[in-house]
Amino acid sequence: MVRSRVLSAIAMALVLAACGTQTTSPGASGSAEASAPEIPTAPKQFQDLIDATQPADKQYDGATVTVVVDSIQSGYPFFWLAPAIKKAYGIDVKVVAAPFETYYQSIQNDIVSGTGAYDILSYPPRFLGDLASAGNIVDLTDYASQWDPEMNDVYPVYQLYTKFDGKLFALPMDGDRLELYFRKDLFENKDEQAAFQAKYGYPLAAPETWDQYLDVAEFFTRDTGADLAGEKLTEPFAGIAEITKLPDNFDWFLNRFASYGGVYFDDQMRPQLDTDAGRNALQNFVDAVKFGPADILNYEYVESFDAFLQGKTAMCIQWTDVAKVAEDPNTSKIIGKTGYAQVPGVEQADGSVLHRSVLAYNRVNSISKLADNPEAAYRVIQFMNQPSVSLLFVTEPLAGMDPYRLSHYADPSKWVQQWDRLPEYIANNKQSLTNGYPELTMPGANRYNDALGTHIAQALAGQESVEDALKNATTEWESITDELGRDGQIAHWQAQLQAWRDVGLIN
Amino acid sequence: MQQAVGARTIESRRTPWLMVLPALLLILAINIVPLVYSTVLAFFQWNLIQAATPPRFIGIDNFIRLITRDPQFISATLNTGIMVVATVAVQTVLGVAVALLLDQKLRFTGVATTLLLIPLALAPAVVGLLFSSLFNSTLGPVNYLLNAIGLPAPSWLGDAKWALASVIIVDTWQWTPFMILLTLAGLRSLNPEPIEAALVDGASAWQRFRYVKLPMLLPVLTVAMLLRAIDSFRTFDLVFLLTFGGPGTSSTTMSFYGFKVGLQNFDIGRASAIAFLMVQVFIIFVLLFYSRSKDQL
Repeated sequence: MVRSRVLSAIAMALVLAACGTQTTSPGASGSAEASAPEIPTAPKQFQDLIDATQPADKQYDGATVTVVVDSIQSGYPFFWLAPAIKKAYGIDVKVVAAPFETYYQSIQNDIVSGTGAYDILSYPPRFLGDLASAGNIVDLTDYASQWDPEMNDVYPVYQLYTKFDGKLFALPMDGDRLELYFRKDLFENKDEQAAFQAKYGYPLAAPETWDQYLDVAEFFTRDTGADLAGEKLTEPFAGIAEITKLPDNFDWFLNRFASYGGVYFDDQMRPQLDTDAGRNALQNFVDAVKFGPADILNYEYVESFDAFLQGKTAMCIQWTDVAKVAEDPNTSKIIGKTGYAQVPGVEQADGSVLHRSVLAYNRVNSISKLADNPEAAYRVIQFMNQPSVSLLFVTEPLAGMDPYRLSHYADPSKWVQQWDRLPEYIANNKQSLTNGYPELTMPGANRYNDALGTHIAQALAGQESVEDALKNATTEWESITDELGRDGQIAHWQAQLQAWRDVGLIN
Repeated sequence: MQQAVGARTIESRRTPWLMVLPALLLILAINIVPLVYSTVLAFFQWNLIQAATPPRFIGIDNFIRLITRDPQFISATLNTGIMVVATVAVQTVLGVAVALLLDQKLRFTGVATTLLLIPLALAPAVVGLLFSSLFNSTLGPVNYLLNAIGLPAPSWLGDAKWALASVIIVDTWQWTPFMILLTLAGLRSLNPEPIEAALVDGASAWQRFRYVKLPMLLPVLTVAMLLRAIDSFRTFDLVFLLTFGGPGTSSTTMSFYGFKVGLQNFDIGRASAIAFLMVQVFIIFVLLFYSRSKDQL
């Protein structure tokens, strides 16, 4: 009995240890320490870069810089390149992964409580306004004037994600946008094409509009035992995979909302959700999830990503790294079968289609106001942001980072991952940047997103009608604006809107 | 002489207080101070994102907003009520039934009783991950078995109609053994004479249970139900791990909503008001429960 209790206690302790926040320091060789989570071996190009790295002009011997990331996976670039940073500056890099769903809470708690466990915060710019306006992150302007972060090579839309009130508070690390991926093999199947044409009266292709998206999704949704491209299904097959729950579901609404002509607020910051654009967008989203896998209402990044890569859906609206992983034999069952397209849009009066691809999430690196050695921390994020360094981690499939510099697309032969249709993928990437639609980065952005996402989830689950969901989200947005101070929020919004207009994101 | 006796009396009165003083101070620091501080914050508007902005006194606005203008709080309160009633009722019935079976001293009852400890020993994180896999709508064994016997297989965690039920099922799996063990301990400590007398009088097994054992078991059952109700009322971990309160807000409980408001939106004033209301609901519940069952305690 005692023995069994001891064994239970040991088992529980191990499980608790495994479930806690994971902290690890990359070893000298770039591989993880024995107690650390298993980090995949870096591709050869990373080792070449480490070998070629020379000591920099200024050394920071003995300095340790701790980076907090939203998952072990997004910490891979820091793990892999830590030996190079050590060689260049004498800085040890420690990586801490906090849980994705409560990431915002983790970094806010660290600063607000005065703990200061993290020196570098790697986070989506939707938190930037809150962090910068509260003085919780360091203004990088002076450091940038000393050690150039080469921002001219960064796409203007991603430069916006690093600034607050015109000052530089972050350096970019990841260039996200959403795209439509589809099963090219199924879409090119002659029998499927004929059946689609017969049923809907137009040819089967990647959907251009949201209405076509529903048709294609419905067409491919099939039960176990049905035929799909000449093969009998052993499990249900779904039309789509999308993200339906917080913290990201609002971006999947915004793809639609923006293409129906919606903008978050008017010039005086009155919410524009409860409009035709909002109702059309949310209704389409509600209709679409009926053609998703049975548990689609529980889908965040991993579930949505996995459903497509495991060959369970015909289409998937996702971040651009999914297409890279789709060509990786270690993770994908659909190698060579992925087609690339813009997220669907809305047909305009002149017959053209307006596509809007939400520049969702991204990651930027900032320095906590509690950092022990902010200059050393800056040198780390500046090292990671260099064109030749960032090219490595935005072009390999495992880190989940995506191109954000003009130079990242300059020479596809230098990409770590190579596959036949890489040029086609890059062309689609560039097009979706042109169609980009920004996330809010002003103070309170996370609260606006959370309120909107909660009501979207309720509408998708059938707990609220489309109209009520948008009305309730509008009420909450007004309430958040009042709580944060209406005049100040209007000023922040107008500055945000102007910045978007300056780079052509909004008319 | 009288003075010496008086001094000894004061000394003897003071000594127990001195002995418990460290514990009292500890309780004051750990329980009472945060409770009072949290209660005071419930009357302020204060968001930690704007920590530099001092808290603003707003009277009972946080409470009014929660009760009259926050459908998510009302929905979370209803979900919590359903959770408490369902888990306590189901676990009590199952717990008593299984305990009666184990009390028959059949073969393997010792092994079965030991095995019952396993769910209780598992960390909530393990239980959450385990049932996330079991309830997976396409790959999970639960739906595989349901399909195999021709029953409909719902999307347990992805359907607003089933999500809260799934949390209740998992809680029942984990905590019914607790009810079984307490009931079994109660059954084995019953005075055998009234039961034997009922047997001699020709009472059936059901009559012996209903009119003899159950009344004698009530004190144990009352305490067990109260403990389960308290635990169920503050359910957080299973919701966090299994559904994250969704789909929509269909499985959001009061604790989980308090977490969202306080630790995701950092609206400390409103989160404190939620905590305050939870404490009030809890006190009312315990008082009602106690007044209805004080004869049993």
